[in-house]
Amino acid sequence: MPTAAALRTGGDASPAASMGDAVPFHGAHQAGIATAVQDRLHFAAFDVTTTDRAALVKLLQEWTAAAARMTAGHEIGSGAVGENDELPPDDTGEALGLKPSRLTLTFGVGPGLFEKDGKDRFGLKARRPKALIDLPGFPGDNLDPARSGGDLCVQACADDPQVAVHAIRNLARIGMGKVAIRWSQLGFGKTSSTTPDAQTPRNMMGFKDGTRNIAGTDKAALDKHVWVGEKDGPEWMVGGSYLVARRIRMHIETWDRTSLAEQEDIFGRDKAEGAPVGKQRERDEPLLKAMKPDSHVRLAHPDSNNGVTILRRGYSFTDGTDGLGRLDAGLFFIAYQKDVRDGFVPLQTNLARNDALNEYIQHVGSAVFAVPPGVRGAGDWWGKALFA
Amino acid sequence: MAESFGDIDPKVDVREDSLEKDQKWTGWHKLEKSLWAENATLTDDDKKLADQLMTDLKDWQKRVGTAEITPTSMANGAKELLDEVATGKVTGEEERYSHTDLVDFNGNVEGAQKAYELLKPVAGKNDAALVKELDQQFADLKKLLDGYRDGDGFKAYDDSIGKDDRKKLSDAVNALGEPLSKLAGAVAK
Ligand code: HEM
Repeated sequence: MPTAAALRTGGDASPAASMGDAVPFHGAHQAGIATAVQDRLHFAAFDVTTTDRAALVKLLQEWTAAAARMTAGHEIGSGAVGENDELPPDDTGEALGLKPSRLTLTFGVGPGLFEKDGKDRFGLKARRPKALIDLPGFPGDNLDPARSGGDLCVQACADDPQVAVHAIRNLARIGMGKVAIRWSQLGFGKTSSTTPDAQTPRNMMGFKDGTRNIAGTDKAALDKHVWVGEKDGPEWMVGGSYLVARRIRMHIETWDRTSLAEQEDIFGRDKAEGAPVGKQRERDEPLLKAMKPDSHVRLAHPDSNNGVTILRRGYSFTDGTDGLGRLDAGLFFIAYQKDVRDGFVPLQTNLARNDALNEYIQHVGSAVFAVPPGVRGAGDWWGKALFA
Repeated sequence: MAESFGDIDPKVDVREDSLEKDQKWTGWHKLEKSLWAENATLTDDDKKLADQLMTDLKDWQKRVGTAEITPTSMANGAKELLDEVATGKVTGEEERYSHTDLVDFNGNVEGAQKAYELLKPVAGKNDAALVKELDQQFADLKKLLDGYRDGDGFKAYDDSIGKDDRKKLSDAVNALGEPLSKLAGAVAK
């Protein structure tokens, strides 16, 4: 069991939340970024199918109301067993009796909302933040368009998978006719930690993942690397962040046939403890020069990238096996940063060119979203300042 | 609709892989396989089946005429017609040899719309917003379907219709299906 201190949520310095509790929905920043990482993920990307701006705005208001209820552990609308027998219930019901499970719902808008196929569908083109770029291609990418992109996204994280799935299912249902799910991804083992006191989880390659990450309680680092500040702009994004999601498939079978020595060389850390090369403990400062030049940690470390620092919040995934009987597994990488151009892009450029890990992974899905600041209170809703 | 006459459906609308042990394969899908997947000829057995199919359908027609229809059952019937499209026709798994899924798709949508038009005056009084939404979604779906017309009928629902197009059809069916599921509530008020 993680300690209470380890479960403390960051950013808004809200009080400790234990596994079943509710995480506050309202605040200066959206929950689900600096929040202590929950165990499970359901991430959904949506295409906006309506061309009616008013219908889209109405949907975002309905979504926000539903999200506030679900994160508090309540049923949406008139509930799962509504008063009218002739109607399908508003809430689908599978979360009845379950705890809030620290559910967070984090909302973002993708490039397609501002411009799609050369069209400014909602009169928002001029409001597109400069930092919301279309990601460039990277060496080795093998992106599946059906698992990439999206005009909107919702990241649902919870300690109970049923709670996360219920949330996405109900939001998708409310959205029918206005938006349609483009792709979605389930994730099960967190591969990051924003709580340094807690035990670091392991990824599907068996290594501790998330050792060196921005702590959810480190306000200075969050302000510096994650939250969009007033001078960064645009105004509607102040207090928000930018999200990059990558579905990274691992070549599990060949990885499993790789010697321990090589595995450890690839990361620049030992497998048992997670200590950097030449050091004893997981939390010891890495000595980059001691690591192989193409090791993942050496290449990804801020000191090798002019200080570039991102907040990682990814999950492992396994979608059964592929047609050849190979495990369809990997890392659903999620990173938050103040500006993608000073975060993921330079970092991934470096990794895609040089990382020894590339022999065992392939990026197969990709998306980028602007994540607006938090919903402030009852009159506020997801994206209100953008549509103002 | 056919499903409310439980004994007829398994005779006329059963697929090869959903046959129960010792159940004889009869009905439309058996003939479909003979006509499209096998020699494109009907054996004597098939011809007997075709006659039986006609008899069964005529029986069904008679019984439909006498079934008790209420506004609620009609609204639910419209919803079910669309459910059939959502789970079967849009995937192309139903008419797997003849690929005539879009003909049935359109038939179901038109059937649902007929029921809806009859109920619209009542529904409109109780829930004007719902009627507005349904008008819109029926129009959108029919427009999308019109793009697949070919002469008097529809294009074959085969590999020429790709994943993206199928998803568009599926999204449009869901967009109509959600508000349609509220019609029974609106006419029962
Ligand atoms: C399947 C793909 C990946 C795997 C298995 C993986 C695994 C790891 C592991 C085991 C560590 C060491 C523990 C830690 O400090 O958290 C690590 C560190 C790190 N990784 Fe990855 N990673 C992957 C992809 C990426 C990508 C795509 C990026 C960014 C573009 C990235 C950025 C980082 C960063 C910034 C660190 C911390 C470096 C430091 O400050 O010491 N990783 N990763």
